[in-house]
Amino acid sequence: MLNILSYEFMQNAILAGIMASIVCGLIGPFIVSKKMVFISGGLSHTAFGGLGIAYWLGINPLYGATVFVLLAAALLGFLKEDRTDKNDLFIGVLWATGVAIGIVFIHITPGYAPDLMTFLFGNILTVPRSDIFVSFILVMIVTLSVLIFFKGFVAIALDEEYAKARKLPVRALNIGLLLLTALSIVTLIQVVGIILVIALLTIPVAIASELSANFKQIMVISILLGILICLAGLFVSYFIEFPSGASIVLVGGALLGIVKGSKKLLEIRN
Amino acid sequence: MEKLIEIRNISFGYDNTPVLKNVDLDIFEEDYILVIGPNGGGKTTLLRLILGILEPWDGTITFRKDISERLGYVPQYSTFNKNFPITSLDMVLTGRISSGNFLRKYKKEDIEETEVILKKLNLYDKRNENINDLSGGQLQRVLIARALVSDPAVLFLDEPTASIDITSQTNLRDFLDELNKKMAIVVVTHDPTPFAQTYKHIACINKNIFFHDRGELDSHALEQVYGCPVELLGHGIPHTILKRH
Ligand SMILES: Nc1ncnc2c1ncn2[C@@H]1O[C@H](COP(=O)(O)OP(=O)(O)OP(=O)(O)O)[C@@H](O)[C@H]1O
Ligand SMILES: [Mg+2]
Repeated sequence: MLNILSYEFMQNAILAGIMASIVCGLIGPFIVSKKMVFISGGLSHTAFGGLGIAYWLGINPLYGATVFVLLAAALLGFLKEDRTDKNDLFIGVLWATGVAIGIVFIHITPGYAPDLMTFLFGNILTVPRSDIFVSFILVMIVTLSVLIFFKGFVAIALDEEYAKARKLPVRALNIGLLLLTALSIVTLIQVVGIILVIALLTIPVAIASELSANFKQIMVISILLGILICLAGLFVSYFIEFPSGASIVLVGGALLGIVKGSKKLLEIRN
Repeated sequence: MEKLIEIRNISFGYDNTPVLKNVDLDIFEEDYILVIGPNGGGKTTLLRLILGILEPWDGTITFRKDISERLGYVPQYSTFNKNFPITSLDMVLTGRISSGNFLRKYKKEDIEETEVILKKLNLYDKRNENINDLSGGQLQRVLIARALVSDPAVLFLDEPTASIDITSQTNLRDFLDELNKKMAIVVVTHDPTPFAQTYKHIACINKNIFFHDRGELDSHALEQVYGCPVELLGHGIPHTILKRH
């Protein structure tokens, strides 16, 4: 059992899982409380566009994805409408356009795109060292920014109107939060893939919210749960050869079900 | 008494329809202004303009140098995000956040000051409760506490009596009287009765603003109030149509 830890791919997988869990725990609670789950889904899918272009250009797809997701986040931030219905529409357009761009570029690139499935569904067992390094930098940026801007992010997530009345730079903070969401998404794509990113941003937070009603605690618990879920999913995937992204998400879903279920049972019994 | 806020010729509308036109208003130290007017008259909008949440189309709002960030605000509707998990103490503490300190951690004095205010408002026992578990009246007091921890020079309250019972209304009135010794108070209300003994000026807002001194209101009291075309004092008093305005 322990000797599998000596494989480099296993070490990379564990590192990728831990880093993904850190950004999930730091950004996920903001995304959930600000109802930005759909936005995150949209941003994640625009990554596919960047990925397609990177394939076509013959560069590391991760870079293409990073640039695209950041651009999409910036666009959303600058165009942000006060009315959520307009925003909603715009996110939908961004989501589909991103995917369409990806499909077109992959189509015009000669040959078969071998890692395509990896990017859509994630494969934590094949994350290369170089990508781990990129993730590490992203995680550092996200962590430092959340530490520095924590009060400001809490203020806008809790009461944007009041934050404006307190003369905080609300618009800048919103854009900042979107850009950090983008960086988190890039980190997560390696682990669970474009389609399953929102699962990791929400499931640990959903479980943590069952266990605590304090925002900071929810952040810490989410990180720990994220690590637990990623590693459990990883071993499931390794030992019974299931797709890793899906294994991680299913472990998370099951854990959420168990926690919610046992809370309900306790309520009924009392 | 010194002037704290001077509002000159403010006009504003959402989209293209004007909501406020050529509004002037002065707020002095130790002032106590009641703002009344019909639904949709623009009362909340005026507060949001003064607080800098909205930008006026036209006109100017000038603050005495030191007070532009010392404005307390108790909103009409709970503008905060009910999804956000936070305790009463932490919620009130966010009132200490300002443009100058949002990058720093809370200081010891932030927490001390918050605890003092929580005790004053009888919320200390509730400090670790999630705000979603509070009663309407308790939540109201949390929002007042949040406005007070920033040491405001002017306190704006939008419909503070809407969701509380008579005893709490009386308590609130007494509390505001007490606060008024240290700060100017602006109360938006549909029911001026609880404040009738204590206010100093009254402003009627219905797109335009009509400003009255206390004495003026005493002489043709109801007439003036009813000048705002809506049932304001209500409660069985016959409706008198106003000559002036
Ligand atoms: N966010 C908004 N977007 C568009 N129109 C708005 C918005 N907020 C208010 N309005 C409109 O502006 C006008 C004034 O609204 P406001 O909330 O200032 O009135 P009010 O005097 O506070 O009313 P009430 O007594 O009901 O609280 C209304 O006609 C309202 O429909
Ligand atoms: Mg109003």
